[in-house]
Amino acid sequence: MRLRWGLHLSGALMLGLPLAAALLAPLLFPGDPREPIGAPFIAPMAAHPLGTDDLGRDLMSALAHAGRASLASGALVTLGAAALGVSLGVIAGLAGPLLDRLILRLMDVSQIVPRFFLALLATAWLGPGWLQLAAILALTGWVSLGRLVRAEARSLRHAPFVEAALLLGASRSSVALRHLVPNVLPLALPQLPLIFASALLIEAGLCFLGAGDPNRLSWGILIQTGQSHTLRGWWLALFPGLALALTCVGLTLLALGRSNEADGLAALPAH
Amino acid sequence: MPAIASTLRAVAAGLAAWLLIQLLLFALVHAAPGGPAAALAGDFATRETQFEITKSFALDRPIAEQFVSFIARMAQGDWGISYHFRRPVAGLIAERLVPTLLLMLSALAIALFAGRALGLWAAANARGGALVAAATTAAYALPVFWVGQLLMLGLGLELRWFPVSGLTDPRQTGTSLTTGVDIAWHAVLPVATLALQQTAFFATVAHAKARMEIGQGYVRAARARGIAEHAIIWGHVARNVSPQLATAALNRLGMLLTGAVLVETLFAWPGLGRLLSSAILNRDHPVLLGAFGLIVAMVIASSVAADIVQTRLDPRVAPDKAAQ
Amino acid sequence: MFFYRLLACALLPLVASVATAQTPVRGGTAVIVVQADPGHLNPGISTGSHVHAVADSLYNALIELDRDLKPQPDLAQRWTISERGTVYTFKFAPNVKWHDGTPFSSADVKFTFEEVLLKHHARTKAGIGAVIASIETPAPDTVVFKLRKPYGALLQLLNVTEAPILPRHLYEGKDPLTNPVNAKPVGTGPFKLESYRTDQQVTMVRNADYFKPGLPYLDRLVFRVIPDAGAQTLALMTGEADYLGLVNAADVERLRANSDLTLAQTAFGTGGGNCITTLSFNLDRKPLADLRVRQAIAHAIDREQILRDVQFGIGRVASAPISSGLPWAHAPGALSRYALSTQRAAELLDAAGLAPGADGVRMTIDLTHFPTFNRIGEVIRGNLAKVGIRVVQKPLDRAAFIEAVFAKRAFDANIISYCNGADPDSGVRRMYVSDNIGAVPFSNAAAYRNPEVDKLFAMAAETDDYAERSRHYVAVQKLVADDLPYWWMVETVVTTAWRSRFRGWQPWSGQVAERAWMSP
Repeated sequence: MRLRWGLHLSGALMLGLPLAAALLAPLLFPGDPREPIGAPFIAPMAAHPLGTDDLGRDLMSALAHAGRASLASGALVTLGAAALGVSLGVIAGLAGPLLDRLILRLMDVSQIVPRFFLALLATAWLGPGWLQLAAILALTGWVSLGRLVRAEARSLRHAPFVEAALLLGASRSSVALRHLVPNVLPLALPQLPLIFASALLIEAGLCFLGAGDPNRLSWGILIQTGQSHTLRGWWLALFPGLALALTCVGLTLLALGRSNEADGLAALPAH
Repeated sequence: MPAIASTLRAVAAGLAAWLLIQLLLFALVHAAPGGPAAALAGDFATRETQFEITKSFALDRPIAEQFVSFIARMAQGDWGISYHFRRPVAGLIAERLVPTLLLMLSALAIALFAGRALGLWAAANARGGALVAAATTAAYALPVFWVGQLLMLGLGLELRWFPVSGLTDPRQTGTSLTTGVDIAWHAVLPVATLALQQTAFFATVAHAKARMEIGQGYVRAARARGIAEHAIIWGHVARNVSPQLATAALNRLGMLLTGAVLVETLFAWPGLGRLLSSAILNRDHPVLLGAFGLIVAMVIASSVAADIVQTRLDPRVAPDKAAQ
Repeated sequence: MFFYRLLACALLPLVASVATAQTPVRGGTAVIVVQADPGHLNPGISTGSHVHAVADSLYNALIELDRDLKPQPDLAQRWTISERGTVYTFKFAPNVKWHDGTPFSSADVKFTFEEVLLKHHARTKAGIGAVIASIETPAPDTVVFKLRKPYGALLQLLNVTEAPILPRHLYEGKDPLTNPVNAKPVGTGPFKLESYRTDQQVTMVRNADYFKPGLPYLDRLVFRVIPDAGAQTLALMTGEADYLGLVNAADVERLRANSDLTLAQTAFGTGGGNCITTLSFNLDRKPLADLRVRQAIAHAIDREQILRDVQFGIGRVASAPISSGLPWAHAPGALSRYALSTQRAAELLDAAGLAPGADGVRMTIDLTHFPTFNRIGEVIRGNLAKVGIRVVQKPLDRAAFIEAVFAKRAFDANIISYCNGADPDSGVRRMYVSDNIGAVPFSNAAAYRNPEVDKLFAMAAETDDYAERSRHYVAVQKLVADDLPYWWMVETVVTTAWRSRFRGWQPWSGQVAERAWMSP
């Protein structure tokens, strides 16, 4: 029990730094992070604690602002996947056998093609914009959540309070909304940080293969450009990578602290 | 017999899923802007050249017709001719499958072995366990291509311990007795990169499962009978952790492949992952569909196998897909 | 006495090796890094640099170009030009054999041009194809090109990258696009194919019967595929590779510091020669149709910054629409009136009626380009933001780019590296002539239409008097500098690096390793 809360806490702390930096970026680093503020390739020193990049931009400022973008996309994916997973899971839980089977099939099929390859195909098709990518990742990332919710909904369906509500004439949709959803949420919550982390890592992987969106400063873009300049400036790939890693570790610890321990499979982000 | 019937049903369901996914992928691939003609013809190719290429590869037929003939040919073993390489897709994929399998299976083997050991150790030692949990989580969360580049720079460039790219020494031609050693030497960095990530994953699974097992009755009974602690952990508990690991491994094929694509691109490893990403770039439809077809079939097969392992090897767990 | 003889014996090899270190020796294996797998090894049906980077070493052409882009003998030992530049007679070297032993003859040349190049090699088709009247073979060692009108650029377009010669006896009667010989090529070149492992390497061995005496020196040539730019540099540094044709600009400094490596710069290679990274405006779209807007953009882009920060100082700011690598055609100072000035840019935009909105933005344009130009796009974005133009970058991969820019013309501005080639007629004309709009990728992206420019290009092509040609090209440059269908940014210079023990590379040619040798 103590271990659980210990993991929780360390996760939250780790996450705190990038989260705070991202949220407070406009205050801590005012101005446009894409404006050059000095000579290129300045190594980390007092005035520029994380150095400058190939265009003379401060890496610390870029990292913080990129954090906003990356965390925003991650949040969007997570919200989308959560909405899909919870709604489809509850529907399947309450539905008759035919609809349930259909949704199960949908879940099976959605999980088969590795998400990364689908995202790669999608960027070839739709272009590298972050909104399109977030949509694709949400559409493919809800399944494990959906399965968990469905299992819980199915077992709750036979609980006395649900049977009572149905007997008293409540419609299935109101039962779903008022009774089931609030009860499955605690189960769904630990999955969310994992969905978040895997969205961040997939985006970074796509940037590495050249399929990233250069209009937006994101951690993935910073890692990729940093890697191509790494012989000139070791800090350019190191710090963005650490920022991403720190965030993902924090998210994972947060989830580990609360995950269903019987199922180690659910305990790590899928990427 | 119910076992055979359920197996057949599983196979039929798998085949149906495979066809459906192939259809979706076919549509997706054809919807990508810019057909292969532009990619094939090179710069300054005129409309006529592109048109000729389009005709010679029958790209101007309606999509439904193309899909049906594609599946029909695939069933007969003809997986088409690659637009980019102009040689049969089946041979191309077979050629590339071997390095990828080498990469993935080596990394998997190392990861399962080391992961299980780490996980069991962490479960048995409370303080060390927390440390291991933190370390493995960190290792898993690092982007695999970033770690790969670090290994390349450190072990490859600075220390010159291992080569940084390719499958074999470029100056050695023809196979000889030392080719196997050559390949193994070149595989060290890519396999290490992939294995690092996967070890972390399996360590976490093993750790969680082992902790659960340790709380079970039979462990307390064994302790009461005076069996040594390490024999309990590394004997009884280990045996019960293994099926969970095997299932996890079989279910992770898709993610292993994702890691493989990134590692292969970085280390110029001539595998299936790289074939796929360059096929996307070149709009090489036959290769894309053939490779995806193979990958999807492998993933479906391994998840069916995972179910079988779960029910057969660990009869305490009911085959409940809903729990996954 | 004995002692001195012993000393002499000991010293002799030392003296000998010092002496021979300067003359080429036979032997050795060289590993050349290439970025992508070629796909097939027929350089006659494709203009893709990934094919030519590898396949050109297997073949020859009528002539080859030296580092000053002057024609030198290759298959053709000598040639004469007669009938006021409309008849070119080439005489071949003796003893030329195909890799399978079949003797080479002029019939191969006639066949290659008529059945392969003029049908499938886009640049040759566009250039020579437009002027050729007939190709005759009066003798096995002679070929005659009869042109409809004089064409000064002909000799520059007959090297192995533009017009490689294929074996008639293996290609006759078959479709060159699908002929299985494409994967098992037979050429006349200095190297023969030994093995081709896709996405790994192409291995070639020395052609012992090569018609140029003494060449090649290397025993073996290996083209190693390494897709990641950083990994390419590392492979060179660790010794896994010996030659890198295109060094990532960011790594040049680090490689220069390495004493085992030699670096060279060249503006010409299999990827194209004399290339200028150019911004194209879609003249069919408002507000870019307004000249003042284009002029404002020209004044606002800091090309020095691009050269300094993105190219790391390697290359030159473009001073004219035609590259300075073609000095006889280059018009120095043609673009000097477009000095960097955000003030002037703002004035022009105001005059064009584009006042800044509440957020300071006057207009938004999209910028389409390959992902490799991400950094340049970033600099342009920053520069134009200063004058109130918002730029949205749209990186597209090759296939999507060609469709968006040339087929659909769905873009505001794009970045293309236009390679002028060895002669303006091959690389420059296609950017400006009006019959090239839409039909041909990487041609007239701007959709520029100026009948006078069309005429000047035609006149320049029809004469072989270089002074006259120069006058025409200078006139063209004046006109396009006024009309600004493009903005010419930086001339790219490619840095090539190799292990110092190797010498004799020809980075400007498709035949990069023909004269290369390894000192022991």
